[in-house]
Amino acid sequence: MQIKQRLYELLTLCVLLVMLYAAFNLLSALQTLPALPLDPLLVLSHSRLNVLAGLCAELALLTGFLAGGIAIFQSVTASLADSITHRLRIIYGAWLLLVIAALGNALIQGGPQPLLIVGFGLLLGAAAYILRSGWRLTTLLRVWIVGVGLAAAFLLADLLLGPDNALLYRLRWLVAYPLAGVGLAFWLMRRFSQVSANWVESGAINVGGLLVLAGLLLSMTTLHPAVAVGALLIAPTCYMIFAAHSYRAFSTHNATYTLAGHWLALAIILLGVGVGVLSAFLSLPAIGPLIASSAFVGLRDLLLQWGLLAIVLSLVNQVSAELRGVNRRVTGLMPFWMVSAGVIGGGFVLALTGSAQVYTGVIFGIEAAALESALQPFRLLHALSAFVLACGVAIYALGFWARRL
Amino acid sequence: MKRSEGQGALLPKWGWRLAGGLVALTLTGSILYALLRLGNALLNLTGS
Repeated sequence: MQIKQRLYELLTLCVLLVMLYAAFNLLSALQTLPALPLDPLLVLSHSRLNVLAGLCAELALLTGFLAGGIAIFQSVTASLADSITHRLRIIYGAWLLLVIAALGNALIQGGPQPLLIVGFGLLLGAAAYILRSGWRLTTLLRVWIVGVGLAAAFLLADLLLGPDNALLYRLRWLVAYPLAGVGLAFWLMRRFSQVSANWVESGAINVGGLLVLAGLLLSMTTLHPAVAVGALLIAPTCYMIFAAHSYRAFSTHNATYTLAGHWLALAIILLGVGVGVLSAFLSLPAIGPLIASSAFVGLRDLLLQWGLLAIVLSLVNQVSAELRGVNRRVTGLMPFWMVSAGVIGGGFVLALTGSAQVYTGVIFGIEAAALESALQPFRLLHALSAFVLACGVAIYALGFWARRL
Repeated sequence: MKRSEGQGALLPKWGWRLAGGLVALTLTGSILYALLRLGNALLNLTGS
């Protein structure tokens, strides 16, 4: 019973972090609007709020991935050895402390400390190692372990090569996290669909391999122009294969009433557009420098973060319903549509803003300050979509709380 | 099973309540504050 309790606590922590992410994301969008007299928000700068939002998104993602690994492990293992339960308990405790320390540090100093990064890397690696030493190692757990292990390695390498290393950041977000996400996504497909275990296992390996190939190409586009062209051709194809392959699971739904399938479909669409198409296009050598300081960078991050977070929100839906032992929705359709509208609407506005910035600022040479007043309607629309997104997350959290264990 | 009934919980029940309350307050505060800012920005745009 203890392992279920830990799992539920990790899911709760994950939902709390998504709520914080939505709040900081909204405050950050509001900073771009005309300030009020005696504005209380002026205490936190726009860049500080962006750092806080990014940190909360990554912490929520890592917490969700950790919970997902435990959920896969628990679903295939009838009873856990005491030694494994005890070691996992230590990981949980340390994880919670690190999350609190990382948030406190970001609020005070404005960025993650190298020591905290090492802590997260070590804990992720330890969790992957402990679950690897379990009794029954399934293919899905292997995919998850490789993804999380790579994330841990890239986090640790951050300390050796210096913080804010662009290559390590891309490898983490484009290779490690999507791979861990694929492990969870295919495990979820088996819960809400009639697909066979063999189909799920071969799908996870094939799709995982393709996404790693796409992520590696996208991460190394600066090496040679041919790599960028290869990424532009291969990455969208890989993500398209992921979407086409997953369709079978969505079209043969079983009797599960949770919204795990809905959230997973959203995740695949956002990852396909954000990583498969946009990241590949933006990483072309002729385009990269033009968009470096435009809203397109924010658009890519938004789609990537929410694409991966949607997998975690799908997991929260499914696992909490299973832990409660009641086959019904934990969070309803309203938060799903509000989050979808917020991300897709916000993404559309960011694409418009980015296009305006690139054509007027970079190509026609109009100064950014002169352009700013003309961009105000776009800023307002972007803040409105962040508002809808935050309301969606708030309703999601209310649903999770109302149907708690 | 109630969460607080299990032994050796990560946080005591009051700890989860406190954390949940603080986070809910942050999100609700941001949403209410956003209403104020969005209203002000709309008025500015429409020239009222």
